[in-house]
Amino acid sequence: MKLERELMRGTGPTAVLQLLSTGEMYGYELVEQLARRSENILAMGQSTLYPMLYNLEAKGLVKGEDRTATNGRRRRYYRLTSKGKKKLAADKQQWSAVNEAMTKLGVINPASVANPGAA
Amino acid sequence: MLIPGRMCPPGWWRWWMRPIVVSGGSAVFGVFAAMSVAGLSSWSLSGYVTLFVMLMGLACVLSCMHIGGALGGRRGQLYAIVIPVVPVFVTFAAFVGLTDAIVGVALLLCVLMPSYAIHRLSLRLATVVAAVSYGWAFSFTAWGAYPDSVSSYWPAVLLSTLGAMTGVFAVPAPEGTWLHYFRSLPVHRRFSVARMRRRSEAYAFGIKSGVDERVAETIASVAESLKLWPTEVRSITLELLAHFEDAARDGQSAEDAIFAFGDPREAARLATRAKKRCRPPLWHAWIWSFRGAGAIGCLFIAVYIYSGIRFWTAKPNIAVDYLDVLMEPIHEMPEEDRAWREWIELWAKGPTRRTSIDTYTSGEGRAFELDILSYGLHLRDKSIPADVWKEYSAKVNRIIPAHALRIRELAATRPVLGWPFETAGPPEEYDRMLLKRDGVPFLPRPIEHDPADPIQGSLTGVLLPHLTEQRWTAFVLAVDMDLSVKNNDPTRYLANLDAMMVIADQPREIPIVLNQLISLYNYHLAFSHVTKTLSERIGFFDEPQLEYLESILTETPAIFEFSLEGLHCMMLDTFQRIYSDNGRGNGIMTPQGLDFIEFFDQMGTPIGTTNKAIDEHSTVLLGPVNALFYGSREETLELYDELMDQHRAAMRLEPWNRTLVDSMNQRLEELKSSQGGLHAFRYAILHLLLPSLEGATNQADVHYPTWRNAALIATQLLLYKQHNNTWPGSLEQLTLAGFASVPLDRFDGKPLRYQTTSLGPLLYSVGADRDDDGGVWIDAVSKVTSWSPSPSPDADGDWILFRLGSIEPTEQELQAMEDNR
Repeated sequence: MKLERELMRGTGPTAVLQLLSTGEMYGYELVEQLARRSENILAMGQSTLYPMLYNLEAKGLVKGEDRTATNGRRRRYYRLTSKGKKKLAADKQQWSAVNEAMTKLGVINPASVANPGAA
Repeated sequence: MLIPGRMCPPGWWRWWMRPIVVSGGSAVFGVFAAMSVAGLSSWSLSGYVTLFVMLMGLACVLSCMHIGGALGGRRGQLYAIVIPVVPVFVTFAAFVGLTDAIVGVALLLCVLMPSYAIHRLSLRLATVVAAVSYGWAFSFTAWGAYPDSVSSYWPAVLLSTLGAMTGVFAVPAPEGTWLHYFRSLPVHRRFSVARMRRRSEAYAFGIKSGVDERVAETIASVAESLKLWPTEVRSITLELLAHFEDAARDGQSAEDAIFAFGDPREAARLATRAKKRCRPPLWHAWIWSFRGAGAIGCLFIAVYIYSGIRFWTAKPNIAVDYLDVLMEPIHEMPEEDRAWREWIELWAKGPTRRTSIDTYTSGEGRAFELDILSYGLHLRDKSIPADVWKEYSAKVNRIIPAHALRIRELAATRPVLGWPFETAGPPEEYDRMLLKRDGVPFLPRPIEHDPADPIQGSLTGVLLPHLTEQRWTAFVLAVDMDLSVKNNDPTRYLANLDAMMVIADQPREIPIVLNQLISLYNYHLAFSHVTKTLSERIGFFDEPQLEYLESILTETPAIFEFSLEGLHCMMLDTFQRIYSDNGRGNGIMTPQGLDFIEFFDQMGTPIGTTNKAIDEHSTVLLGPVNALFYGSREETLELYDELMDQHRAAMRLEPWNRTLVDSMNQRLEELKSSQGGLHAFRYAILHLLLPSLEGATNQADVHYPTWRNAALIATQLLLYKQHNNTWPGSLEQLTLAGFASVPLDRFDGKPLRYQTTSLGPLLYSVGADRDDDGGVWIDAVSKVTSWSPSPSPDADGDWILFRLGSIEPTEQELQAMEDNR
């Protein structure tokens, strides 16, 4: 399923922060993880991922560092900063609140969330 | 797309000749442009040749710079910096001088170096900077040497720049070079060298890293579109390279990786925006300051353009012929009464200031420069040797009596002048504007004014050559009056005085300020001569002659009515020539108005025509801005009316009741320094034209009655003495013909001071300090007799109007004045 642009704009940064909360990653790794773990729902265009990372870096939520990998290639690794952690926590709360509200409204069927196959 | 290099035949068409040929072509176009704008006859052949060479040099310089930037490397540097110096040096050295050539080259290098640096960033920006800077440099250089026509140069400069731009296409570019790649792009994408460089570097780096060519192309596309610092571009390039390498390692094909990546330009756009947010606060502050300055600059440019349009489209509308209005009294005169032709013929026979002065050499070899029109002055000069005096007085007696007789005869029979007033025209009319002599009578004839020049025909330039002649005529009569006294001929003296009164009254036929001033001066000459003669030669006139003298003096106006009509017409005429007219009594300053004010300000005295020596360039560039600050027509007229009302109110008061508050000049001085000096700029025309008025009206209001009263009272005192063999004890004892009571001192409002002393009668005014010192000269005559609204503390002493012996300061008094100083 392809998300609408506006929805993607709201979810993308939180998703990236969540991924980085598990450990530092480089750009391609983030692309892969995002696509795999969200089952391609949050698979954003790679041309937008890097600008998003730069934005997060500008806000101080992530920090990039150039390092030479074991295979000799040079990569830029991103990790979550403490400010990023706080932002992630805040986003999580907001997403929970939205999820609860949507469930109460009937937009989200709790049964389908538990069992995506049944809807 | 056009690639002239490929269209040119091989062989002699060498790459280094092309820019020179292109530059030459543009220079030719430039010269033709200058010819068409300035006019073929405006410059000489050598001027055009020099222009051609300089334009060619300019275009060559621009071409070389572009080529150098395009080529890059050492050869590029040679082209861009070193080679352009040669034509400039040669041109300057050949046509201006070696020193200027060296200075020119130094200036050129100062411009070339930053231009080259800018050129490496952006070809478009470099073109603009180079064209503007060279255009200005060339224009300023040429302005000094050629006719003043700003508009001639811009087409030439622009065409030369256009020619230089084509030079960038005149260099062969082998395949593989980025110049070759540059030429393969669409035209609209060729304008940034920096973009090309970013792209080529990223592409080369990608290829070198071993990624697929298509991937390298994608990365290069992103890099090309990034508007970031080189370090940031490099960082993103490396990151993208790593991304695609990881994709390849992951088994993704190049096509899939490129597809998954998305739009490179969109990526570059977003990345540029994001990366700029990461930049330090100082950078952001600089950018915002730059934007602010740019916004202010744009605002200024917008205001300048608006005011420029408003200014350059404003035109004066000359609706009223004010000279015709002023000449109404003359038009009403019967033509047969107007004797100006006869007076011109008479003046042609008389002495002038040029011909009246001669150098006389004494037997001892000392030289004396003496003027026959200053006979009375030289009479008192005891340093003139007898032999010199003999030669000088012989000349005086040869010239003056005969001419004075002619004057008397014409004044008695044809007293009305009826002068045909004209206003100044084009500069070539200057010779006719002055009464030329050498025995040939000058007859004024109508002057044709250029309708495109509203300053021609202005009342400020009304031609008054006859006033000078009237002054000399009065001097001739005064000298003949001195000769009459010397030869003991009172009848001739009185006849001269009669004629002098006619001469004194003639200028008042139209109420121009200067005319009235000349009239006042001539009256002063007459009255003061009478008083001096009566003082020094008590027995010169017998009783009938004194009575006749009294009648001449009483026929003169008791009050000199100083008319402001001439000034008023001049001001209204000036307003209609310098302001536009919106049909509702308002308007703005026009370019002609600015020229007028600048000329007035520089020269001090208008000649009534636009002076081409005024800095045309400052009017062109700064005129729209200056015009914003000048008061509108309505505002200026309002202030003028206010000032004139104040002046008229002050004139209605007696002089001794006027204070500084009433003074129009005082008010003008206060206004001048108000608003930080802006007022003087805003209402410049008033500050330039009005201050002289008060001095003129004071002459009429204070000095004229004083001189007249002195002459008349002196005459009556002598008459009284003749009748009663004694001097009167007071002025009330005189039969004051024409006076209702004893005349008042114009300085303090009390009766003129009179006393009898052992030396005889003494008549005096308290003078500028308003303090009665008992009838003695103390400070300099000019200070004591000068009037101001308040007493002058450094003008001690009294103004002696009549006493026996001499009304001038005695030697003792002169010594005291010297001691006081």
